[in-house]
Amino acid sequence: MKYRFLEDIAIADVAFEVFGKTEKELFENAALAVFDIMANTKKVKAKEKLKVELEAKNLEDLLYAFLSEIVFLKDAQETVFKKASVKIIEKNKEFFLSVTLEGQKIPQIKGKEIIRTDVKAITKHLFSIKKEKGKFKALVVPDI
Amino acid sequence: MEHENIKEYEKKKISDFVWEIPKSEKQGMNVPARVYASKKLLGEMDKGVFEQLTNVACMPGIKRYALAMSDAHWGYGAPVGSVVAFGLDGVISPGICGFDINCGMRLIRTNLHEKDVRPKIKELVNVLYKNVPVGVGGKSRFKLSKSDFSELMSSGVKWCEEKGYGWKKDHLAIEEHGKISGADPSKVSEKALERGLNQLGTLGSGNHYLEVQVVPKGGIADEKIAKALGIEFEGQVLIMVHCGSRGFGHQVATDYLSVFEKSMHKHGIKVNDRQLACAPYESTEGRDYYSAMACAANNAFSNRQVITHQIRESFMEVFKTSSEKLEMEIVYDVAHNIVKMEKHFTGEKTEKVLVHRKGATRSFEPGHEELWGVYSKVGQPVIVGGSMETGSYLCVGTKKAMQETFGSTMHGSGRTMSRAKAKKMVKGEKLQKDMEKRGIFVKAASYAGLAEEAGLAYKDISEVVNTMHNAGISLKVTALKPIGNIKG
Repeated sequence: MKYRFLEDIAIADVAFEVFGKTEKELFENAALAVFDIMANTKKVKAKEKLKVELEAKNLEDLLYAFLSEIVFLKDAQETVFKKASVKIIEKNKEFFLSVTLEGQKIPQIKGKEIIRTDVKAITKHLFSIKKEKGKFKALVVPDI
Repeated sequence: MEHENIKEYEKKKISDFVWEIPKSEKQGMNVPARVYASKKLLGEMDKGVFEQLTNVACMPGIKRYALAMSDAHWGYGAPVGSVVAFGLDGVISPGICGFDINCGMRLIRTNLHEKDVRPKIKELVNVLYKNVPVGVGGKSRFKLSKSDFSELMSSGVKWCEEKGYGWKKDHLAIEEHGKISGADPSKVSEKALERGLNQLGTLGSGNHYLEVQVVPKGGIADEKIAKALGIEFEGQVLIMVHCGSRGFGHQVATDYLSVFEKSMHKHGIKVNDRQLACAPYESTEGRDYYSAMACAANNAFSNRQVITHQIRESFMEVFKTSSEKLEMEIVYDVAHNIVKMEKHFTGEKTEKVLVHRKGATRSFEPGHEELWGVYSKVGQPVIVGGSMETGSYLCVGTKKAMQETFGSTMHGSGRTMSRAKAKKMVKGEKLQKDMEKRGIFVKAASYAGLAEEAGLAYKDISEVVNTMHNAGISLKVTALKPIGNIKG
């Protein structure tokens, strides 16, 4: 399982758990969950490519910055996505992220049925990354 | 769950509608917490409300009580439906304002009767849907330059009026005349600007909506006040708008949440939830956030103003007459996600405090120094948005709200069910058809979004409103029922 939406917490918003064997997979799957809230990813076309580079002092802050950047690009570039290709490098206790996002401009009239719900922000409520039995698991509560 | 809550809180009952959680409940609580609820609502409240409210009660400089209104439910950091006041020597917290800064309600009246509008409701909803952009990425009909945007942040609704988006007197029917002072555009990031430039006059999604409503038979609770506010007959058609500062405000909050989290160590502050990150008001970070938040608040007032302009255009298009002839006056516009500097009684004295209202509405008494005109006579209007299926209410503020709740009350019906669960139980397309059969024509950008907002996911609005009415915090003026709705 890549991610699953949770029914009984943060009922005003959306909460999801996301999994990954590696940091890269965790980040890519977390991005997919956010894309899935915003649009029907099966119907989103990979017409636009955007490259994002971010850095942070730890993995949690890096994931928070990454997901917040997706929310930012949704408004600033008027784009919804379907795929994220992530590279993470750890160097001198700093984490560097390089991502290519693929998606399309948000349709205004025709084709609007692919869009779902706006994500206002990624909250830090219960936000966490845990490593259990060699696998990564994160909890994210986006504000809707 | 019902029995658990009641059993636990029965012994700390203050009145039939007020329940106290003492300081002994959790280590570090600086003040007790109080929940406004009927026994039924208290039983239905999720555990997140109590956990989050007692976390807030631990924050530095908090005055009197951490308060939850009758619509409270599990949010992020603080519950949705909470009211928290900090002294000026205390803190300010973006998480207790909410990401959607100045998310709020606007009510516009008309002189139309239901019988004039019902036959044209489909056309009207379709025209509104065409003129008011909705949903994820719904693009503004206006492209702002950066200097225009900067002016809008500082001047709020007056900027819109000067540009021709509305009537010159519209600001007289808005909290703080549609402009909160202290806004400083230099405290807003480039990213927030980029998110906001294309979104003026857009509704957004989630629980945001624009609704055509009528005064139902027997719905007016206080004829005198209703009349003073221009609500004169059963069947009268009104329009309710629920939205906020869009991506601009969301980015301001996101930016400062990170700033505050990093500065907490420096200020020696610890919080129980990262989303409650805060800074002393009297610090660079605290002052900067207030100035940026005021920009977002003014942007939200302006957003609802431009939407009002688009609503008037739509009515003119459908009813082939001017909005002036339709007497499309604003009844009131009020924020329910905001931090305000106000004077309140804090237990021993009256002093300036920073009131954080997160999913809570200001509820000032008649004669309050910040009110004017008709509002000073009848009390400040409180606009309470229900679920799109059940209806809404107009209420007014009271003296008791000033004495007990820092001049605040509920904001809506409050969720009882998560979005994920609602989507499992309801299909958007079927809901749309069922609602049409019941006389509510709804048009939504997304069926999934529609299903998430189904009435069954919310508390009983009448129970929520009656609780605050019976507690004397806000008094009912009229009920309002939907006949048409557009949502993102």
